[in-house]
Amino acid sequence: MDHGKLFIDKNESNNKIVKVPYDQSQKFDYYSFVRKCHEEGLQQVIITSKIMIELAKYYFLDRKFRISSIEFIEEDKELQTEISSILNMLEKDRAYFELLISKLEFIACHSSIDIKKICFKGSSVSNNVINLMFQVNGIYGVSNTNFEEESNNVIKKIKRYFIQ
Amino acid sequence: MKIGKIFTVLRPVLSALIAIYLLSLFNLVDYVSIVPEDIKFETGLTIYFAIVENILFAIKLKIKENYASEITCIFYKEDADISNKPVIKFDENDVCQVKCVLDIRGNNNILGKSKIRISLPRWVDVQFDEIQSEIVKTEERHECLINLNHLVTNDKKARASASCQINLAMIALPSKELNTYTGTGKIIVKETILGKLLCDFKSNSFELRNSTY
Repeated sequence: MDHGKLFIDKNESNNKIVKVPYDQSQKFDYYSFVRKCHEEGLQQVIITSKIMIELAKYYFLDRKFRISSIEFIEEDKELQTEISSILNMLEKDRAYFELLISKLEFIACHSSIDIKKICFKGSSVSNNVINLMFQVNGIYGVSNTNFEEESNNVIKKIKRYFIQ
Repeated sequence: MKIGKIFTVLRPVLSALIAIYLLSLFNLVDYVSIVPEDIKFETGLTIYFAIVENILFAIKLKIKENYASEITCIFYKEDADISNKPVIKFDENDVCQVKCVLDIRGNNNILGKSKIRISLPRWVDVQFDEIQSEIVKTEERHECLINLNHLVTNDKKARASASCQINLAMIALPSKELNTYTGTGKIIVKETILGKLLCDFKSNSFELRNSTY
């Protein structure tokens, strides 16, 4: 899986979203990476719960992906169990997506950053299996062969949240 | 209302000066025969003082009714309490959130020209939800501006009464070693001169700690 982090380019006038890829396999210094990006005028993107829900809708409904897991910032076992059970039901019947979204939207009403991580699995137009992962701190991962294409799709999908 | 406090202190002095001035022009008690000659000035002064004092009090009430405004901004984690200074800690993903409830009451014109700046430490970037971005703009990475113009109506004579909740999602620069960063999120109100005199502002602040704290 290739990794990247989303940033807002503060050098651009209307908050352009950019991706900065990084190689997690090498001895990777996350601190220096973010510090360097920060010095270059890039602001870290927070993938808020609302953006996570938007991504879930896009990948599940438009791209017919599966949602493999959802993790939350607060360690709430009851909530985690409930969501995991909805995800299991979703595997058998995609109609449960509405229930999942209503739960997630309820959570997002009370907090901007409750969803920590969301993972998807699906296939590309050329039938390559794609694994996707998004974290609240703007880090995302995509199966190696589709990194560029999916990065551009994600940026297109979320950029409206950052227009000022 | 700052002008109200100034007015309360100055009102008796002002009333006395105006009463003396009016008395020097015309003393109504001169025409009241039942008042002894030697206390006509004192009696006139007492009556004039009472009248002027009441007129000034009525003017103060009128100003308060039409122009006095109030902005309350409370930062909180769970329960909004202005006497608390919440401590917000970034998690292992370097993100955290503080809620802010903003309440405005008073004159549309005065409040509409006021802006609230939320200032955060330099190692913090702030981000808002799409809906909130209509009233809150990030100015610099670590600063944002709430334009109260979006919370009042265009009717300049009407009284404003609005409340909104803002979630400040924040992300910190990650810390290389076990360095601890702390900082304070605070509010600065930008008002017109009239706003400074007629608007009361109440707020608390919040403390930010990075994940290695």
